[in-house]
Amino acid sequence: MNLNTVAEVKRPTSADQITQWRDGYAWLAGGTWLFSEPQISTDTLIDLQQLNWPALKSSSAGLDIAATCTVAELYRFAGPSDWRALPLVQECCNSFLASFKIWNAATVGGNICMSLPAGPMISLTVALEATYTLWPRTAPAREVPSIDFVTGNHTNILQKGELLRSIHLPASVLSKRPAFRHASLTHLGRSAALLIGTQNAAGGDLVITITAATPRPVQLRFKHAPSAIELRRTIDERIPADGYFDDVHGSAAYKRHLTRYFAEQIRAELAQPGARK
Amino acid sequence: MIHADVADARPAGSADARMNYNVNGKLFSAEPTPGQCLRTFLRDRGVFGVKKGCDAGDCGACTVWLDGMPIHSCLMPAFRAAGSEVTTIEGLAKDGALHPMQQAFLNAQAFQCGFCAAGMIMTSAALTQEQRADLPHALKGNLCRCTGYRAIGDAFAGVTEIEDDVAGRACGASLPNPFAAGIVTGRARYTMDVAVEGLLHLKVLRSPHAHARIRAIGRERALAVPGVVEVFTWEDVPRRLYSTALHEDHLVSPDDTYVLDNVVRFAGQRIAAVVAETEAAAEQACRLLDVTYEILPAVFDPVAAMAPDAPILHDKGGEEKGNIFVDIHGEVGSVADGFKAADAVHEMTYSTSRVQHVHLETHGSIAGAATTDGCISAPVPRHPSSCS
Repeated sequence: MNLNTVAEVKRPTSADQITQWRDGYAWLAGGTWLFSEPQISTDTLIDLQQLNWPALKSSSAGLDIAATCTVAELYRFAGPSDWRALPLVQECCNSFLASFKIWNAATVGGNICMSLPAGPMISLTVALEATYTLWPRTAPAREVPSIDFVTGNHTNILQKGELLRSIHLPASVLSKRPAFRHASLTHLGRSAALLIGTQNAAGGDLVITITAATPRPVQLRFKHAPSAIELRRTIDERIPADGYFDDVHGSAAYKRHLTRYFAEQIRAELAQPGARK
Repeated sequence: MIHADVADARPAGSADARMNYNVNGKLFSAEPTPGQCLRTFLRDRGVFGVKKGCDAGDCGACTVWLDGMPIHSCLMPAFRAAGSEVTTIEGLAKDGALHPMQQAFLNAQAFQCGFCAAGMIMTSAALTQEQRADLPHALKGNLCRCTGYRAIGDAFAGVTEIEDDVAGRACGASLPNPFAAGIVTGRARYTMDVAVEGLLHLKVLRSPHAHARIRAIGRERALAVPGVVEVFTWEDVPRRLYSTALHEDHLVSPDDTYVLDNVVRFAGQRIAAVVAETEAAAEQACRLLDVTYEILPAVFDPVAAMAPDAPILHDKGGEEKGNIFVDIHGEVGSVADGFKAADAVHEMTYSTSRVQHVHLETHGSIAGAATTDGCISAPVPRHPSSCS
């Protein structure tokens, strides 16, 4: 829709050109959320497109995703065959409520910065133990673990004017065995629970990342794969009954059920040797 | 204004902020307003095949291609389309021949009102073979609210549902929608698909309170917004009650509403109307109206509303008792006799919420100036099956 309160669009070629941040400014990435509802407290859009950040760069160290990389570009990424966790990229993209047409404009960084419980780019990058590079307006760049970024429903650690620049997925995690589980109340609807498990090639460990069911991602890390009872106990210790996200996309009790159910499925799947199904 | 440090989208050497556009092969320079989306930018230039449905990226009625890539034009900043090829439904047919997907929609009659068809066709024509194998997933960004999706699936399957209109044999034949050719090419005109010279826009301020009395409405700040033509409140309208239900039977649909009232009976009730030269000015002026409310006790449950001590919503005379306007009972034949004669009786109280069809074409009306006979012409969205 038209954003009728916006009086100016700045199109910098370098983020450094935006020195004085004030209320009323908004970074514009894909625009698919900004343009979806009135933004009456915004009067200036600052376009990130002309910064021309390369969308994807892969190396032996891993995959670097620019915040402005579109979901469609990430969906099409084909990496080395020993990055066994890469199918998670398409599985997470397919967990978007939004259609593929939105993927053509929406960005990976935009989904992360929206910081909604069901943001599948949050699920993906937290499960793959990403590091986010943030650009504050007046301080040097900082790197934060993805698990620490989202702090609650629609809240995160970004300071005023601070920019998410890029997401680094380490090759060591991209090489892990993945397991993926996802459900929503309606067919192709918004995620009620999205759980991802990863395990080292050598086997034995287990990392389970819980998203959508909780206001912010929860990660369970086991040096040695737990038993079903240990896993269940750990989930209940980390997430109290009222720690699930209760909304129209599922009650807290439903999301707790899905979390326990999918976590156990992931544990069992990764306990099996060999390729995933 | 739009600042571009990289001027690749600007006419070379131009000092103004115009950008170069290519819409359906037509080249022109234009300056979109800063927060403008591509959909309104296109429609402002008479490209009415691009529809406004939800205006929030969900319904897909505004789907166009940007360099061949389908996007929702309501979410795309207009300035970003500069320098790209924009293709709308009007540009899909080549050299007078329908695109195969337009023909398929025509053959399968994959529309009823046709309001979704332009966006549906622009999405469908862009799908890969892999996407066509999973239509519910590929078409989740397009909503149809009358045909349903079976006929759209038929279009993909190449099914022809229509028969020729042969004189003397038309009765009983499966004839196409008479507006079909216009619908699949984006030429069909809906209520808002018209450019009106000197058009003014009206926006409404709505109540945040469920029950309140309006003590005062200060309009000075609103009237000071450039482009604002007039502000209307309850003090400006005839004190004449009418029914919003539009039923012919006023026994069940009482005259209980003023165009603008000084009592608010639900959150969202209109409080004031602002008329301005632009939507932006009207919206801004609505935000600048200073309304003083006296908040009154409210009731939110129909059973509680019938209690003797419930806050009274309407006190206009003619109410049967309290908040009950009329108590109606009816039956066809004798229900009591029917129960007596029945082999088995199942008794239960059922309730259901009101269901809104959520048609895609937006509510809206265009009112013309009063003619000499005092009438005002005001076309409103029509029944879905008659669109032209």
